[in-house]
Amino acid sequence: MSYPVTAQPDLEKFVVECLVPLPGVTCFAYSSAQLDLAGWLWSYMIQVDARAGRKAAARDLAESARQVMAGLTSAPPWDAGTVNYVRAEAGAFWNPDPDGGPRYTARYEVRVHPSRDAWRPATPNPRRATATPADPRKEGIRS
Amino acid sequence: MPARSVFTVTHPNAPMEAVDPDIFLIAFDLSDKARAGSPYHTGNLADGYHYVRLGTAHYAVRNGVPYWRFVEFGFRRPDGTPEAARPAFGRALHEARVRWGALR
Repeated sequence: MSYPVTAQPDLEKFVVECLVPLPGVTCFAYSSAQLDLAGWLWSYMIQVDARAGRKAAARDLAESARQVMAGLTSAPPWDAGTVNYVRAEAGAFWNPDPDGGPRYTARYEVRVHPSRDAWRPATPNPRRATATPADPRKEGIRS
Repeated sequence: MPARSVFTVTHPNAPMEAVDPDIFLIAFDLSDKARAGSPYHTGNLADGYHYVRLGTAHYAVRNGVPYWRFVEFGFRRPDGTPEAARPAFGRALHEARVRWGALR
């Protein structure tokens, strides 16, 4: 028995595109998990770093990034999915680099639905596809 | 006439004591997963993960290694070279939330 497999949306790419207008802000996804059996809900953990020349500027940048992240739920769906939940997991908190460079760090949990086009038929198991089905008449099996 | 019930709470801390073993299990699991997922060079960082019992059903997972935050959150070297984060604790926390039902 096979069932459709839902393609995992590339949320990290979408968030990077949303944060591109903010110079000094970098982000990456460090964890993801499928929350339901069918793959219609994914949870991503994303870290956002805001660096600037001064602490106050870094803090303002982190706040701008927070507003962008909070607005992801109202953003129009992109081609791979729809963001439906954003929660600040930690921060933004003061997290300077080893040389004292100003940096604020925040971590967010973002949940996303794949788009409706993400359903694809499952790739058939090659071993099953090549196996010859048993003929019940030859095997002498009565159903 | 509506019935009236009066209860006298004789053990206010009973609910906390009832869930204490489960909270202990979560704290143990979280520190164990963070230890297992952390990068290993000298073992100092991995061994630094431990849980502390602060009270009934109140635990904390800590790591006292001073460079923990640089490994967990990444950093930028003075010449501008970025050093990638290796967030063992963040991943363990996310995994624990999914496993123990906090994200449902």
